[in-house]
Amino acid sequence: MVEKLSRRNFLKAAVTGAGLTALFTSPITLSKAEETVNSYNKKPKAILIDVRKCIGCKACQVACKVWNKLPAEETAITEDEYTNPTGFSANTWCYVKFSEVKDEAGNISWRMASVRCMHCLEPTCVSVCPTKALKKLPEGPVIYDPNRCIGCKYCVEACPWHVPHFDEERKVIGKCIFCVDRIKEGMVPACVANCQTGALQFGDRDEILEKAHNSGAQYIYGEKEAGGTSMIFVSDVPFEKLGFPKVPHEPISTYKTDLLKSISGIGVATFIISLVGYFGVKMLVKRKAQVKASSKGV
Amino acid sequence: MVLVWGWLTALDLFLIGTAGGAAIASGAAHILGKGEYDALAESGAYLAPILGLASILTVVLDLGRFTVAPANVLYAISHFPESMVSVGTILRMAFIAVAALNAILWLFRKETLINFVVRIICGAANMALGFTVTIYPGVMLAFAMGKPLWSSPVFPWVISVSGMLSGLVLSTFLIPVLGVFIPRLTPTLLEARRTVLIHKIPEKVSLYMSILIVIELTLASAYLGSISGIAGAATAFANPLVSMFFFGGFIFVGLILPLVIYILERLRLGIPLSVWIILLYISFLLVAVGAVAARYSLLVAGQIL
Repeated sequence: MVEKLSRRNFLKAAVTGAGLTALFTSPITLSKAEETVNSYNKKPKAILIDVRKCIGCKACQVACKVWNKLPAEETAITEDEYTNPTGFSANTWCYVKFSEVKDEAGNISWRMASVRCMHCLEPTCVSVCPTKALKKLPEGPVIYDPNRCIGCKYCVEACPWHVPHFDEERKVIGKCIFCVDRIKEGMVPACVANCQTGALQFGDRDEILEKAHNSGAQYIYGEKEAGGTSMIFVSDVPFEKLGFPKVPHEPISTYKTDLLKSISGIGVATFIISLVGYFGVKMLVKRKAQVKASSKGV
Repeated sequence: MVLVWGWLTALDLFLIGTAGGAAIASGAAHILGKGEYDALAESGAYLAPILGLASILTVVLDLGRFTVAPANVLYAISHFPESMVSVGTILRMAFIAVAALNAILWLFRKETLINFVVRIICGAANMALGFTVTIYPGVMLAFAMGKPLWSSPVFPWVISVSGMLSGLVLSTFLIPVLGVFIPRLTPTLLEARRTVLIHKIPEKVSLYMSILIVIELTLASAYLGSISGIAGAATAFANPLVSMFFFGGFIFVGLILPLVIYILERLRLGIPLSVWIILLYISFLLVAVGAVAARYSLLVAGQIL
């Protein structure tokens, strides 16, 4: 005899199913990736982002919002891209970047990359922050203290990846903090924990770099940019085609020193050329006047 | 497009640059002018601290965090003096203090040797600090690694020379204004107004202004050349707002037009001197307008890319 499914039983089953699904997929549960990191050490951490494996499900994007209690924002579909939201904001710390890639034969394919703060080894934002409201931790995260911030927005302008954003209402900066609260507890960041395809992997930076080099990917991004970052991207297409900015490989300290040298050099050259030019013209005018005077005298 | 740094920041850069330029003009006129350009030295001495304080006011307004910012700025200066913003704040404060002292010395000046020597020393210190505040905003912007249009080593010099230019012309512009409104407080200015000096100073200033304009045009060309290889630079400068303010406001109105007026004046076309003086004063105003346009356009261009 086939037992009929009563309305009460159906609801029970549905609630249990939904509960179990939530338990295994919510950002606060341990996923397979998370189990691999069971002890916390102070070695610099990194995330490997394999563009080839990303399917653009945006689970990382949602997990970031949920874990960090960031409010949703109104977004819009733009005509020429599927990236939504189209960039970072004070309340969007992680999003998936969609890129249409055309090969030599003219075939179009898609690549998706989960992006967030690069957590540079020598961060420009930390370097320019006057009050050190932004701080780099030895484990990798670049964290932010709103109580120290004066709202100068220098970090917003200085970041080569345009990551920090200023919340005009609350007068504070918003950016990814590498789930510092999670990694200090031996957990992986929320975005990694919720990645469905293994496109995101978390670990010590040296191990992640080794994985990146052994991944068979042709292109690596983040290893050397701005002196090295904690986000290591691997891809089968050049990163310029994915809209990643070309960032100098020198760290900010070297960049500043080189820049100051060039500025001084240009200053000295301008000063000398101006002086020579000024006195040269003055001498010419004087000489012309002398010639004129002597010719009048003749 | 949301601008993180807009008009208030541009105004701040203009005010502090012009204050520095006024201090340089004042010091140079006093130290090298052999007494002939004391009216310019005096007017520059008054202008520098006023504009310096006004720039601080724009920064405070721009930051907006009235309750938190002052304490945190002090914390930054005491704990992280090496940070670029701390360096800038210290330089600004030192500059305003010395400029204010210099202005007081001019206001209550006495024809004694000691007063003269103190004014020379103060003027020289004012010039040095004035130079640092004209170049500092450009260096600060250039340190923002994420903005390739500001990262050119020529960029701080474009900003600096622009500050020197606007400081020089606005100090000159102020001579008759001060002479009219506060003649009792400014004996030198009153004297200048009564005598031929009022004509002589703008004429001489226009020569130095033209030299600075030629330098600025060269630097602006070198700057555009230095960023030409950067992807997207052309698009940023083709933006209607940027092109209008940079090429129209800064290059044409602020540099080329005043230079043309100066060249025409040198050609002695038979036009009365009084007309030329008016034209020269107009060219001074154009230079100042161009300096504001330069800062705004460069700020916007850098943020577009």
